[in-house]
Amino acid sequence: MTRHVLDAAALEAITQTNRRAREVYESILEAEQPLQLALLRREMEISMEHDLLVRFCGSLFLPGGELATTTGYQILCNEPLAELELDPTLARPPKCFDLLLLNETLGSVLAVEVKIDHSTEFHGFEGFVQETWAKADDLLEWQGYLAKQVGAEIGSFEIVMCVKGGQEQRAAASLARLERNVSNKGGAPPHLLKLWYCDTHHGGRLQLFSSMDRAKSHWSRHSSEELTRRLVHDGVEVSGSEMATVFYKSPPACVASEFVGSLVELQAQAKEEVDLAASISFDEGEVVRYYEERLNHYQARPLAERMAKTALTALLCAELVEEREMRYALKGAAIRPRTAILATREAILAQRADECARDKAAAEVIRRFSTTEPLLFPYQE
Amino acid sequence: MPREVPRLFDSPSRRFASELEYRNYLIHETDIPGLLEHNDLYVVIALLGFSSPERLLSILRRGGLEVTDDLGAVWRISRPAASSHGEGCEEFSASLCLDWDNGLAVFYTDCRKTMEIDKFLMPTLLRGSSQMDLFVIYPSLMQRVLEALFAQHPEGRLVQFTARTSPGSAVDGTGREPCARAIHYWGVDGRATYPEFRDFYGTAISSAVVELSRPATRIRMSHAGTLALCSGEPRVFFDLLEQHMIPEARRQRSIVYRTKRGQVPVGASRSPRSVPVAFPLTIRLNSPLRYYEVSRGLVQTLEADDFQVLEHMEEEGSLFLHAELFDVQRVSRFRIWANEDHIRLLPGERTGLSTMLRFYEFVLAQVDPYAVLEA
Repeated sequence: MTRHVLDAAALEAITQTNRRAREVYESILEAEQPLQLALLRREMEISMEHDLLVRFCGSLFLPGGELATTTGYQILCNEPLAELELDPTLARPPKCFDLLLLNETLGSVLAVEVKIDHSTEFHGFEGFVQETWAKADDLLEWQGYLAKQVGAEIGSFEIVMCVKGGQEQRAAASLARLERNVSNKGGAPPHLLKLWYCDTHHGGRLQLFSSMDRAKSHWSRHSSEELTRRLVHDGVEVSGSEMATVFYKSPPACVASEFVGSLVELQAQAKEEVDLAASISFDEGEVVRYYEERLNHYQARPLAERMAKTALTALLCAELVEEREMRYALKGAAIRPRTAILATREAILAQRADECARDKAAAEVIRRFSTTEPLLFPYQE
Repeated sequence: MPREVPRLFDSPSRRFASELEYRNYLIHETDIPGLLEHNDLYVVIALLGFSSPERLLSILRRGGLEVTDDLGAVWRISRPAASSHGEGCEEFSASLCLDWDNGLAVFYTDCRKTMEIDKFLMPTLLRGSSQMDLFVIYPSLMQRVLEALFAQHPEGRLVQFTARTSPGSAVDGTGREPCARAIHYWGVDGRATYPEFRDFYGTAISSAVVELSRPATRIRMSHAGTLALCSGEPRVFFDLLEQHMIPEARRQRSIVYRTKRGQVPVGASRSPRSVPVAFPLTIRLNSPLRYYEVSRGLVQTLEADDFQVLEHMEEEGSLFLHAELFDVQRVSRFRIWANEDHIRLLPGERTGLSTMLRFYEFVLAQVDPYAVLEA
């Protein structure tokens, strides 16, 4: 059995142009110790909950939805300023919020940061509050850039920290204590965070926590009366469409996990495609075109950077030499056993189905993309 | 000279503008009662997630089915039998009525269900494309249709039925512990017996044979989008099709068809952007899903049904389940999240109509037989 081995230079080029992909490779290779794996699993659980909350929040502000219509706030993007994180010319790139909501009429922006705390410490949220304050500083610093990017006047920012239902009391206590500490030192809180909490039971109900122990009660309320009114009391439930965000900044383990998932899908698709091609007329070009179309499709879509990266990296993984491919699948097994079993099985099936066509297709696509740096900000206008 | 009555599927020279016109042709210009002396008349309803005749042609061809006549809204399709198909297998032929506006493909055939239909037609409908599948005649629809039939024909009898339940079913009979059961019942008193089975064993009906006496008619219905007129008056059968099955198939297809991923434009007019959005499929549960039912083995059951669970998260208390699934049979990834009242399916890039209907059938079979797709 012969396998086409990826050109080492092409692989190097991909990892050089894609910092995140390199990090993921490294983290996977390092993730051999049981302790590390336990931490990775925990990190992934938190990340899943985090992503879910971001989706809930974003979905509520989709155009046409009740909340977007009544309050005027609409989802603008997730991970605003994310593109700057990979700008090598910046000494200190800004940190990103999870979501940006814009009320175009008011020129008002809500920057939402989702935080999940799995610790048992009562003031476990203090670190998160400080982190959110720091992100808000960055956002203000880059306000001009952001306004240009979104194409709207930005008159005011409100910073929101969103936590999981049941954690709001602890988050509020942490926030109040930090604000008191600052006041005791004669200062003022750098940013007046609003606190949302999302009950994932009963369909994901989002509410504003407006009864915080703060110097002034209006600090806990939104400047938009309508938004405050909608979010206090019973809150709002996610019931319609869901924002299918493509998260940019998940922990490496989650990205790795996503790779394995994509690997499963792509391998199965490759097998399906190759089977189909073989059943009609065998044409290697068809398979090449398939992958090209698929990646072009990802590329053409806004906010699809991570998906493109994932798809390409999955391809890379699939095209590594056999030993490494299996090794990758086994690494994945430590993280997500079911996925990896399937991935391994599908990888073997796909290999048997037709290795030559798939290898050539992948190599062709990778070569092409390795020279054009397609993975960096395809959504940038 | 006596007027020549064409055989049911002889190609007439005329063209048809709609399925309704074709059904009228069948009623007025063919000898269905004569045909029913030898064969049953089967109607198989399939849902399409595309509207390209070329694509359908290609799928049919891959399944070995050739379109021999294009009669407008009706195609005549056939497939010759070969010795490799087994003894007794004959040529398959059918009329295919196409409703592109509503994504329906309705096959009319007098071939045999367990021979030509199961061998030639069903594999194409079930595996031919990720955007094609059989209409699901779910238990509550079947009950509704039976009630409507018996309201119009009080003398009607339910003479056969199949009813099932599963260990994970949310409908627990009052009499026994829930477990996997299948009841195949023959008897003229089915109308009285079925409610007893349903209430005592928590079983839900999945196929039924109805006999009406005025006019004498025998109709068979199966959960997998198939109806048969075994004897009697075609008008009653076609009324059932027209009043209940076709509208429900349209509704089901419309719900599933709008479940997809798309882009929604957002933001300032000076810099238009869009965000990816998943338009979900909501399956409304009739009985609340409980946490212990999920933890008891929903994940294992999913995997046994070829839905690989890539990731899942569940919380005790009031139920919350979030999972990423991979449909091994149809090669697509999607997410679900569920609470007590409903299960929501968020499609992935390649999640086709068949994956969604397959998942809905899984819910009917394993979670709640009275679950319905929410519009």
